[in-house]
Amino acid sequence: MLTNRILTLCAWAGPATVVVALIGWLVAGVLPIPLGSESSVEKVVNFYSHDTRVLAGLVISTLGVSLVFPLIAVIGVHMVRMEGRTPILTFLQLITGAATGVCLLLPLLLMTTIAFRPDRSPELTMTLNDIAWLLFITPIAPFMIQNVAIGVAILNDKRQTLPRWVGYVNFWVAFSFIPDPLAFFFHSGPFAWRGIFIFWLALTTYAIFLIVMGLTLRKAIRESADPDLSAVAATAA
Amino acid sequence: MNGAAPRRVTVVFVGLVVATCITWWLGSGSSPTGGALGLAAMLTVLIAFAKIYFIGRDFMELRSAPSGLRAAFNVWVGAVAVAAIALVVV
Amino acid sequence: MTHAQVRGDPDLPEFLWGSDGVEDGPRPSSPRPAKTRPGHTPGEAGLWIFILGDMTLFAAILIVFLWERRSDPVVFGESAHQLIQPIGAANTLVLVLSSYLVVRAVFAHRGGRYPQARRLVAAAVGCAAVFAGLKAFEYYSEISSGHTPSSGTFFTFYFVLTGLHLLHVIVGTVLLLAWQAMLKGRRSWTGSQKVAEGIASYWHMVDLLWVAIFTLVYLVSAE
Repeated sequence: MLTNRILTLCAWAGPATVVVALIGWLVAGVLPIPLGSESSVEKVVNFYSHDTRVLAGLVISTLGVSLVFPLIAVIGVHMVRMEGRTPILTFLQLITGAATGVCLLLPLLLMTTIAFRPDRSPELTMTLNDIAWLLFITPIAPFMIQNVAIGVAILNDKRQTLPRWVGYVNFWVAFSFIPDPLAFFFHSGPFAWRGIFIFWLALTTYAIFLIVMGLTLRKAIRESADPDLSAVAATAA
Repeated sequence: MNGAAPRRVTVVFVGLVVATCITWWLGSGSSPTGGALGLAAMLTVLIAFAKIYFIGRDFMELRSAPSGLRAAFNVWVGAVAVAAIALVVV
Repeated sequence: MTHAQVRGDPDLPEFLWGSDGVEDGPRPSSPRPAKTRPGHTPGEAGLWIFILGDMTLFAAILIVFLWERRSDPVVFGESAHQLIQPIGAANTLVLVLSSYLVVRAVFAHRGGRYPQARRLVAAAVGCAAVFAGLKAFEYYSEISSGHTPSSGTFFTFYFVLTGLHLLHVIVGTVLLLAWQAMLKGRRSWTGSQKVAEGIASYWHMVDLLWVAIFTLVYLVSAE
């Protein structure tokens, strides 16, 4: 059925976000070692001077992070089934999910803009780079609200549309974002924007979120499409 | 079930309190192991993770949990204890 | 409980359940097979992903803390001596006591002794309040002595670790109060088992994380 195909594609968008974005960042040179708040002006300017490579990689990564939108939609469809008459958590997830997509997209577009004119004044490059990175790392609220909404909906779901452990994973992911605003306060070390408990932790847990949601949703779509499995699920409920 | 906790739980609680006092005493510098290289530190860490093990085993009731869960918890305790001791003493 | 557990064959090990559950056909709608599964998971399995995941996050921060200490043990030692050890120790004892009360509350709830369970949970909440009060006093006195999260690596880690932990205490207290509401409504054990045990397990996690923090940040660093 076409709808199921679309749902499944949207579910696959979750893991696809991780893959495409990572490829983009590897090409651009953002990974494996991103620029840090302690990087010198020369280092920052030098990074953006490899403009073709950086531009290409960042454009790929913007396409990558935009793949969260289909995933948010398919999460929403399933949350409606969980909630029923008043899908407030569904709406919350849709709104904050859309916000997270923008919070991921804008900083990367900003970085792409920096690479657009690598011979800019170094101060401007530095300032724009600061803005891009801090915008990327610090807005935790939309992400956390989205994760908590999903978690609460799953745990309150009588029909067990998604397995309960997925709810707990969402809570854990939300929690892992809490240290991120510390990036404003530290210019180096594990709590700076490049720090292990900021960039690396959030990258890892958000990737886990995308992959876990994508795969478990795919399973849920398959199960609701197959009438035999639906019968088993109905007796289990 | 009459609603009372088994005596084991109270024993563990008393043990935890005593262990806390011992580690506090060890850490306050007035203990006789001050001269030994990191001996006090190592003991403190060992006692602390023993406390954590017992909190898991008897307070969290992991002793009657599936072995996989118990193993996961114990692996955490062991790995973190070893890492902590290695970083403190070595 | 997941689909897998309900449509699994109780004679098979758990990890073989559910992969092709359809072949077994729809199970009769009985509750989970009693006593044929090895061991009882306090709360529910999914919660332990959160608990162990949370413990791992804290462990990672503590390990990095100890790693950073190696590059400057003297400064760490001096900074650690600025902490008020008696408050840290008192807080450890307070949380251990609260954990003990929570265990007894679980047993009381199991045994249908609601008034006793309510008293125990209320006492645990009281302990949490004492912990928070001591912590507030400690933070206040540290900050007024000029030690802030940006006063060097030690204090950064100190405030981040204890701050994250305090957040957990607050969440745990809210959960304890939710349990208290369940007890007031005299919800039966069979209806509340997973939730009550889950809340209790979360609280024990809060306790054991503080043991680790007190030991490594207050005691070991000062040696």
